[in-house]
Amino acid sequence: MSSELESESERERGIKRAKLSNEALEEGPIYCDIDSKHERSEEERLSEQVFSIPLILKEVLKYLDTQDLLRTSLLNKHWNFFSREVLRESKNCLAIVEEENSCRDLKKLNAVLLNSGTVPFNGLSISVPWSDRNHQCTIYADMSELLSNILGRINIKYLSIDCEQGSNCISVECIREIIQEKASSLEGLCLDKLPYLTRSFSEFIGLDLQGPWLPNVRLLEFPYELQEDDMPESVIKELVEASPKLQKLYGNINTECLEFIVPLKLAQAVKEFHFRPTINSLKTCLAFCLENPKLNKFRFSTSEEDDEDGTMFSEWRESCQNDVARIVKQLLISSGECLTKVAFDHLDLIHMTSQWNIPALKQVAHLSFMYSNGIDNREGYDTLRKLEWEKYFPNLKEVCVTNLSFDDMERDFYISDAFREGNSQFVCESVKKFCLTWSMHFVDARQIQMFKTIFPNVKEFYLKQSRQFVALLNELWTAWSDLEAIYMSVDMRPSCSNYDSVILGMRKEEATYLLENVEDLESLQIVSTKPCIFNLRKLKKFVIHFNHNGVPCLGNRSTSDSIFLSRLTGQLAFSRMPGLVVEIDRDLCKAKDNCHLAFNHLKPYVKFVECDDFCVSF
Amino acid sequence: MPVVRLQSVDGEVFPVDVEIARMSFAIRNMLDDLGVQDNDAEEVIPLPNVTGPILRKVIEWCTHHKDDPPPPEEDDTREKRTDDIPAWDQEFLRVDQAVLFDIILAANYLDIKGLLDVTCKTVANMIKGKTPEEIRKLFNIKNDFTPAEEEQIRKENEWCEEK
Repeated sequence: MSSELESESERERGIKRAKLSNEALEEGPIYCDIDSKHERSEEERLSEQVFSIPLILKEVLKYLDTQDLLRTSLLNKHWNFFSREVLRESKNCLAIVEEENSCRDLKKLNAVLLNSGTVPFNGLSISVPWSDRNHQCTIYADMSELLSNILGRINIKYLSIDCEQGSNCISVECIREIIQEKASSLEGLCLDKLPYLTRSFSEFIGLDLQGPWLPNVRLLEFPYELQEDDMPESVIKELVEASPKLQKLYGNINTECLEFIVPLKLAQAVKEFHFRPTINSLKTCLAFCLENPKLNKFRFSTSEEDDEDGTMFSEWRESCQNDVARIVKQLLISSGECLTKVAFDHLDLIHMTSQWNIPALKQVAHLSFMYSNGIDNREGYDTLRKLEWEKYFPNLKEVCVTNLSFDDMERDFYISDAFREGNSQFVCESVKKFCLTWSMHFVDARQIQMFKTIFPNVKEFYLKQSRQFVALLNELWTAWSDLEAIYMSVDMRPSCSNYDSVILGMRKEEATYLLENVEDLESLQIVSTKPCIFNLRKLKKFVIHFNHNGVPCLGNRSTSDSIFLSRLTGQLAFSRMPGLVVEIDRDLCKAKDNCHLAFNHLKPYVKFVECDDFCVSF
Repeated sequence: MPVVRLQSVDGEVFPVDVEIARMSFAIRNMLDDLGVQDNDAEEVIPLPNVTGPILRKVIEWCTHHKDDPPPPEEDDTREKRTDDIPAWDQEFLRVDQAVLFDIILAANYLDIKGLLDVTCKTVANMIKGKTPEEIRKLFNIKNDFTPAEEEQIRKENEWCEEK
């Protein structure tokens, strides 16, 4: 009886749907005569019917990223079950243990897991930073219980290790336990950092690991960061050789690594490659490129390191230089459709595009390069303006520049007379994000205007450079007039200055006078006498990330004139730009509200946020 | 071109080219099991779970995509994108939610992988970036967690977020 009713109702619904969908096809928005109460319950029923079918719900969920899946897991029990299943089966969903004291954090995780039914995690990310080297790691009496609970609740398929110290603490013990007990179920391993001078993973972990001890690992990652020590090749070799099912190898895979990757026939697994040619490695590199690897990221530099015998690339035999050109071209061709990120040096960029006839890098969206304004100064013109940007980088979206100084003696090798004499100048209109990263070298702020000419349509500017702030910001105010967002990362040092005057376009003395003598800033009208933030009329977002970076805390400094920005900027700039949202991400230390990064005096004018590392980087 | 006749639950009959009808694995299996020949034009295949208007939409989609190459093999390691829905499909799926859900149910019942993929992508796009409360409201999902259960889920989820 009930099934007859059901099918009757189905039929009725079908006829009504007929009206709906015909209208939908012909007239767009639908207005129907079904009363809204009935329609709502109808939709409710349909929604319930669709999402009650596991195959459909899982198909939808598979298209969501981890953060969306964590949100859908909160909808109800049914969605929670399948969202977490998808997280565990199809994503890398790691429980992140990385607070100031990772061991204490691990204990907190254990407490949460004691009350858990199913968990969303399929891995652990454990970080024991160097800055935490003095942490007091209590030897818990219930240590083995803690580890067995964590390892029992989380089916660990992915493990991420960022361990700058080798002390015998619980976090390191946990890593050891996972390797000992769960190595055979691991599918992915990410090794970010190991203690300084570590040359062997087995040694670090204190286990005798022999043979294919990572039998199911398909993915290995060795993240690369500029200015940081590379993961030793011996460690990469050790893990690669332990992983017979390896399919993807990410991170800092350099020329030296090819010595073991090529014989193991793993060229196709390499997704990121840092090519630093040496004469002795050419044969292996040629063998590698002939395997047609499909790289996602490619870094290439001839000026980064001298060859073993101290010979500059420019002094190599021509046949060896030609081999390098052949390898680069072959790698760019074989990676064609997959290659999205590249990094080159200033001189190599000119050399490759003007003399090597490389293919157009059609899928490359991100370019990082080392720029030396010394080269432009000596050449007497902006060398990068002569690059045929849109021919070689037709879809470039992000550019990340690091300032560096190159040996000027080599200039004539990389820059041909034809390049010098050419009159054409080019721009790259597709670039929307521009980033100036940290550099030990002096950064000539005038380069901002030059980059503005080359990349005229930049909408987001990222500054990860704590030096020459004043000069850089002063140039920025008049560079991209349509700029919509500025992201700055600031290392707060004890000698930090006040930058109100730079933001507001006034002299430093004027800013100091106003701050010390005018209480009622609200009614104060100012006229900027220099370019300043008000020049950027389309600015919608200004995000500042303050890093503590191990500097001893200076305590609350809201009344001091050495604070980075005072209420002056808040009241006279931020609150007077209605379209602008200012966000501050503070890396507060244990002093919390008394930390010198608290910036509570800016509370009325900004939003305090916690954001991920926002910098575009290679 | 040989034709089969598909009959919807409300009795509407649609003559459809066999090749287009065979894009549905359910119909393909039915035709193969029944041994229906290409010239059996009078044979009517009843589809008791699909209404006429929805069947019309499904046939419209299949007709438009009849020359598409076969979908690539499933690759779990590849990131699943949702920003690659062709413009025609986007326009085709610009319908109210109930119709979209009816098409999903039909695609699932008739086993048309391409149509199920594109409709599920569309639903995923509706979910992306929304808060749980917004998603519940959008799809009329009832929250059956107790406050304590919900708090526990939140606590667990916090461990997967960058701190």
